[in-house]
Amino acid sequence: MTGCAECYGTFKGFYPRIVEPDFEVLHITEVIEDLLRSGKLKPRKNLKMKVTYHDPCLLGRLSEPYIPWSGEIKAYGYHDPPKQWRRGTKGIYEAPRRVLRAVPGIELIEMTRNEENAFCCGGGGGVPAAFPDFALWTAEERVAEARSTGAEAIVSTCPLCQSNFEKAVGTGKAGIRYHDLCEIVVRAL
Amino acid sequence: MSLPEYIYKMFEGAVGPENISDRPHILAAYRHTSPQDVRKPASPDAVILPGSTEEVQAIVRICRRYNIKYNPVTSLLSVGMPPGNEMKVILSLRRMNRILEINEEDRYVVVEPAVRHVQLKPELMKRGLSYPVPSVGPSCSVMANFLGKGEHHVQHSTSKNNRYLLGYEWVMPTGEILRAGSLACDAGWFCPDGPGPSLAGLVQRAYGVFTKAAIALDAWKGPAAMPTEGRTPAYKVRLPQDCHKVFVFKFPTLDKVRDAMIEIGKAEIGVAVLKFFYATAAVMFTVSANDFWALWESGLFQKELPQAVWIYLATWTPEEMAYEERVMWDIVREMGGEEVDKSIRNLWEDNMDFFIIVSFLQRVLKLGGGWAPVIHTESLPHTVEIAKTIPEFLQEFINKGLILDAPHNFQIIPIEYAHGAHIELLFFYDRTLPNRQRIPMELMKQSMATDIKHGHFAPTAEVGQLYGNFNLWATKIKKAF
Repeated sequence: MTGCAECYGTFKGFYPRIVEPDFEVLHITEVIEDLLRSGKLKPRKNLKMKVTYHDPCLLGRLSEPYIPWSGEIKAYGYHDPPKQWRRGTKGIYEAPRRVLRAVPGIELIEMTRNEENAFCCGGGGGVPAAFPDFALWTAEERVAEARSTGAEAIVSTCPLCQSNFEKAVGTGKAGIRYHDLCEIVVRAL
Repeated sequence: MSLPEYIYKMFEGAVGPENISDRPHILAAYRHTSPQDVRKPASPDAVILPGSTEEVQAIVRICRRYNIKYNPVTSLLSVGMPPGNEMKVILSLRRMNRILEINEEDRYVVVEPAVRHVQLKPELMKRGLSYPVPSVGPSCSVMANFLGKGEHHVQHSTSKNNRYLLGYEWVMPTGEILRAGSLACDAGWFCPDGPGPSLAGLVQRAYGVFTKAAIALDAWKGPAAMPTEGRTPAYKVRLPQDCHKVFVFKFPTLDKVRDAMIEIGKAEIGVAVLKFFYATAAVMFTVSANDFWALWESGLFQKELPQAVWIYLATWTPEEMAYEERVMWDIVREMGGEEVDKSIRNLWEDNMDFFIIVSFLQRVLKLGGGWAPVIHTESLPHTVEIAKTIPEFLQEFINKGLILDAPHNFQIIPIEYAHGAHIELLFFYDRTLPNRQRIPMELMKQSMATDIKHGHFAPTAEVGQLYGNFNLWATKIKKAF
């Protein structure tokens, strides 16, 4: 189980290119969802907050398991044998949202660019290290989009998104806060 | 070659150091050419990002002074830089992406060059307004489509996009700023013509850079937001069926297709009427090359669609829809038409954005391929006569295995209730063929030879004499700039 979206995407999409894992990989939001469903976790406190959820890239569109393919590409792009394409269709989009909706008082508002079309936070892929100004600009773009929904907070579930968003939100001048999804759940217990 | 440092500094002075670059990885990102072009794209010597008309003017003046070629771009779907050793720069207009004014009463919008359809269309839909989006797709420049001819799927009821162009602002190749039409007299944006003769024909192939334009708007009969369902790649866009319906009918001959289009035009019903490409449709509605082959080899589209007409009805009320449907059915039955296989109609009912923003037309590129230049004709009957001769020259290429076996893959779209029409041919060639680069050129030569053989067109020098020697005037204007 990983609490980090980049780790999740790496375990699912990159490591299998080297060696096929003999264990299941779950993101923490999937585990929380299970615990909520089974009644083992009971959020009770009313948090009274409007939030918008940001889909991390490696938990969303880039999180599908790697599917090895080898064959021949024939005329007009025909793949022989047929290839299974990874397009972000089966990313982890619903689990975090179901968790948020299960917390009393949370009103979840969607951004226009969400799920597989979410605008990146700019915090992953080595971008903050190589291009810190570009990473910050990217996060500020996303924060502006989040603010336009009327939400009081952006919620996500990736430490790299957290780190970059917290720089962009600054000391509250941006008019919106950042919360990690697990933090929201813990506060509601 | 790289720009001399003193010229680079001049550009830097005009736009600021953060808005110009000659670094190799930036230039590489801007090497582009149109999908049909078989040449390797040439690299610019610098990329410059102006943010205002004044910055564009400063850049154009520098380019003119030092004989530097420049190419203004937004989506990079245009023809790229010319080959050769002359100095050349790309003006990326992406900073000029503001919607400057939406006038709901007078129904126009003023945009900068990098405003894209995906940005403008939803904003207008919220206000009950609309405009035709050409098939280039949502990521492309609105202004570019309205300065060009701007063919699109709803021409039947709206005409070509260049009819919708109102006032505009143009940084001419001389570095002067021309504000055309009513704008020149401080009378607002409502009219594109004047002072003097209309420049509408000139702007379609003009040099220089257009920095603002106003486009006229239509009323939008649909919901305030595009109703999208599902997840990639299987999105669906369905409009309320009481006032939005699409039909696909097949007819026994192209002549009956023509007659149906003319009668529907006379009746002035329908938002869209067109005979669409059948192989292109199969590529558009499949998500991989393998899926395409499964559909294509079923033979369904070849059986149902070579002589088919798509009709999109959109009305304000269900009663109006009932009326338009009755009229449509009367015409279709009179012309011997019948509905195609229901599965085909379902595809369009599930993807009504085909008539709104054409969100996935770029799928047509996934097999590799190109298309012949659009041919403009004066009348719908003339277009149909041209269409009948297409299989004649395509067959040779099909028989040699050079292009996909789709001899009827052309579209005919009536304009202004069938007062005119445009025809477009799209052929697919395999990118793995060693001689693929010659295929488009050879095919276009055969297309032109067939047109001349059947008397559909004549060489420009002959036609020009009948139309005020327009070809000579065009040459003179180009030389002047």
